[in-house]
Amino acid sequence: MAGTGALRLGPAARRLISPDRWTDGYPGPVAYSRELDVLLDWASKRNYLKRFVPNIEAKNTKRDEALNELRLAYLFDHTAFLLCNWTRPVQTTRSASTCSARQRKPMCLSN
Amino acid sequence: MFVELKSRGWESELSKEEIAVGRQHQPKYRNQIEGGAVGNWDPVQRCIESDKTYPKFTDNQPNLLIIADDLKVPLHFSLIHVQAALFGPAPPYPENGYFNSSRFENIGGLGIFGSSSSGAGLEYEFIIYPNPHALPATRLPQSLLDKFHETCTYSVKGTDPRRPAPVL
Repeated sequence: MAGTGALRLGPAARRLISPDRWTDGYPGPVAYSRELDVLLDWASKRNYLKRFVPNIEAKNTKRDEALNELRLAYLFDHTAFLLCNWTRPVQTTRSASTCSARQRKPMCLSN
Repeated sequence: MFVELKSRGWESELSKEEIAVGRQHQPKYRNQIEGGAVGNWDPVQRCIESDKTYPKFTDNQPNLLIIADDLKVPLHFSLIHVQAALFGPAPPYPENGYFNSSRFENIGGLGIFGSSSSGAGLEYEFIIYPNPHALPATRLPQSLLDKFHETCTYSVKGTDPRRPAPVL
């Protein structure tokens, strides 16, 4: 259920995320509101939402990190570089907890 | 190719004194005019050498480190400082450029990503600096370097506020 912050959002964002934990007025200007819609719509079509939504709905800093990850993935996708995997191959010499922590951000590309 | 993304924030630029008085809880840009020296080679080098960064890169695959920062003066507006961090001599810079030797040979290159808003919508800017001392196995694909060896500007479709919103 979206809170009052949802008034700032575009239609795709209102449908897909809740901004209740944001405290800084993001997305603000129309261009950023539309960008969020474009990114979420793209992620939805690629089935990436499950990965991104929890972090985008998180507090400002974590949200911004997730947005940057999404922006880069979008840029690579639109410049003919295929995103083939969001996580690094697990190295068996590491403990499970270490692997888990390190699998959140990295992505793998191919072209 | 393995890609690691780092998002350095302006809070990392604060001094101990500023943190002690809670500057990190205030807006990035305050209403009053703020000034000061800028040395953006420092956050680039701290990011590369961080225990949370370099150990993630193995020596058996192409590796790309990308910084998408939120510094007070963004890196994509101060690329000359990024170049100093990677290739600058010491002195005048505090440290020799990190891509001037094999010290960070597991990193094939450093990408700088930024976004900015103009009256015509949002633009993404991205550039990659290859590491000439990278191991053969960790070097980046030529196709990627061909595309991003100079700043690539990408206009995000559907974000121009002068035009009707896209139907999503």
